[in-house]
Amino acid sequence: MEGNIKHLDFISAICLFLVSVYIIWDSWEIHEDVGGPLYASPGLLTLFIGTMIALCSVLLFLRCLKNVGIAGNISAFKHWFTGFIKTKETLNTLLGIVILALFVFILLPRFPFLISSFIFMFILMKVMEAGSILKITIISACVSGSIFTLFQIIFKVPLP
Amino acid sequence: MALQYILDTLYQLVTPVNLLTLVLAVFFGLLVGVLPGLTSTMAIALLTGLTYGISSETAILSLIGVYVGAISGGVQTAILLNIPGTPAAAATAVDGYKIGQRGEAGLGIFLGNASAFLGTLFGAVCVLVLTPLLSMLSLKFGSWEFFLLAVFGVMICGSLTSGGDSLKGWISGLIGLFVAQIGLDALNSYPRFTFGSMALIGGIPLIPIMIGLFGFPEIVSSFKHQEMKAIKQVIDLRVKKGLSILKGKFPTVFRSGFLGVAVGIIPGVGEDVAGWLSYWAAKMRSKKKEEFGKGSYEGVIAAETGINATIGGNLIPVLTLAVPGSTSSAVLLAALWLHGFRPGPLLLSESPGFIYTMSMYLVASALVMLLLGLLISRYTVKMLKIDKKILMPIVFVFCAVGSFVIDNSITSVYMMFIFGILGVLLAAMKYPAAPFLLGVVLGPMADSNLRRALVLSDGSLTPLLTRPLCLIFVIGIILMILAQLKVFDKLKPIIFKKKNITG
Repeated sequence: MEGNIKHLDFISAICLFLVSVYIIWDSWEIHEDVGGPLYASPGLLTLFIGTMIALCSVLLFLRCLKNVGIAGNISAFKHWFTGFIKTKETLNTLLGIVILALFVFILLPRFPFLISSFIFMFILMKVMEAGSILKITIISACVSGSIFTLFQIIFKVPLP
Repeated sequence: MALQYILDTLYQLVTPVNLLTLVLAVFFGLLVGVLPGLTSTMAIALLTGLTYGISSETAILSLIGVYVGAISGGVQTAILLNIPGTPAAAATAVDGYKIGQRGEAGLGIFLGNASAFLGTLFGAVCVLVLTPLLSMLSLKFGSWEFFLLAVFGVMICGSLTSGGDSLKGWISGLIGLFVAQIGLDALNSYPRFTFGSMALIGGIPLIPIMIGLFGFPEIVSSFKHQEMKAIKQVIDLRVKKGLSILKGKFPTVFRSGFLGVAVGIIPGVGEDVAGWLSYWAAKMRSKKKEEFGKGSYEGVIAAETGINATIGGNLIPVLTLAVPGSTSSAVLLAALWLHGFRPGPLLLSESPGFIYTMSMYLVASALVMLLLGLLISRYTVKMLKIDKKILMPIVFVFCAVGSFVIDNSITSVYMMFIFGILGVLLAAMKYPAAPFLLGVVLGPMADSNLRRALVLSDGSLTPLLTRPLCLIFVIGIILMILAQLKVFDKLKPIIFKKKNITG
């Protein structure tokens, strides 16, 4: 991902343009739905923002095409992507994100904070090989307990 | 008479109860500032409930202490982890983190704390001097000016943080402005871009966005490398070197202090804008512009002074007009009402000594903050010793807690995750996150003021050119666009050529 990222700019310019088209479309629908003059419409600023994003994405797109062209950008992106998904770095990152998602979307809503945070920290530290099982168990338990005591008991702040 | 008020306040301050309260309050504030995602607004709101039973003087003193501590505490995580403890500290992180990375974290923290102290001090003096005058100036800001200020703020931030590619900075800021429009609009209560979801009706809270954008990518980046070396060497604070650096930067301190106070006075614009404006001004005036973004001491000094000077600036409209300058001062205003004070136009005639009391509280809080900040720094610097494999899971739990406590909703934690993924993508594609955040902060102000201004002018844009303050903003915005289009670079050879011919 380091170095020249023209091919990524090429992809992001296309995505941004599509997003801007949606923003402009929906803003116009808001204006038609509310009625009245455009300058007082709730869709006015979003229409302006959508137009500006569209303009910026076109400028970015044109910048990417310089010297390379569309075909060059597509082949550069394909080459980068096939290399990117095979690296150990990417797999580690994806595994880490999955564990974060597990904590946010499954553990936190279903279990009390003390248990969910302990399980999360234990799993993540274990996967990242942060130390012996005893060490990470003690750290996870102490951190969960400290946060719970500070927020829930001392300051009476509800925790997830 | 003024001296009498100051002496009375000093007498109040040195009582054991007030002194202990102040130390504890500033300490609590610093902790809140250090922890990513916990803000000064939340800290003051938390403490307001706890101060209900104590005397009003002690209560206000503790709230000011927390305010100063929480605003200043952001410098620690900004320098050590590149995670701004407060949104404003993002400006500090630009150079602060680079200073930390090159092994001078202690020096960076000292400079940040000392600048925060000087900024707060500058703000306190301005509360005394400018309160009566600046209430008149802030009244000159109309809807057009507020809208243009928001646009100008996002554009400056976009230009400053994009590493020379302003286009990406502006795109990031525009997306931030768009995200701020999600939910019910302020004037018509029309649900915009909510996709029929009740969770989005109230808009997306700022704190989860901030944590997601700044905290999440740092945590994810720690997964990339299996072999991460813990930083064993802890650097000293280097007070002597820090003082000698500060000695040569007094013009920067004064300029940033002035900008911080000026921004603080403008209602709705908080320390975020002050931090970036001060940083920008310092960069523009510096002889070593190339050092900015690469670990410049002046960058940290400018940002922290500007950020902390806003505290005083924020208090000025609160005291004179009962209009909060930021979300934190809005909570403080409510706390003042709760404790029987009546901020507003009548305050100066009803309680002429109150301005002196508030100024002295600010000075005392700044002093305690400096001492505590440096003492705590000795330990927070040791965070560098902790292996990132242990630290980052803990930081993520704090991120989740910080997102949740804002509105006690698990949806905010989901939002933090979603914006975290967006933050990772932005970082990978080299789009700066700071303009995005500023766009989210200033978005509501831009929307309501633009439409209000247009309604008042019947859709005419002529006030943009006829109002002096508007004209200044418009010229500033045009100059920034021309600079991005490299118009000045093209003009330079032509100008020099003409000079050579005439010379």
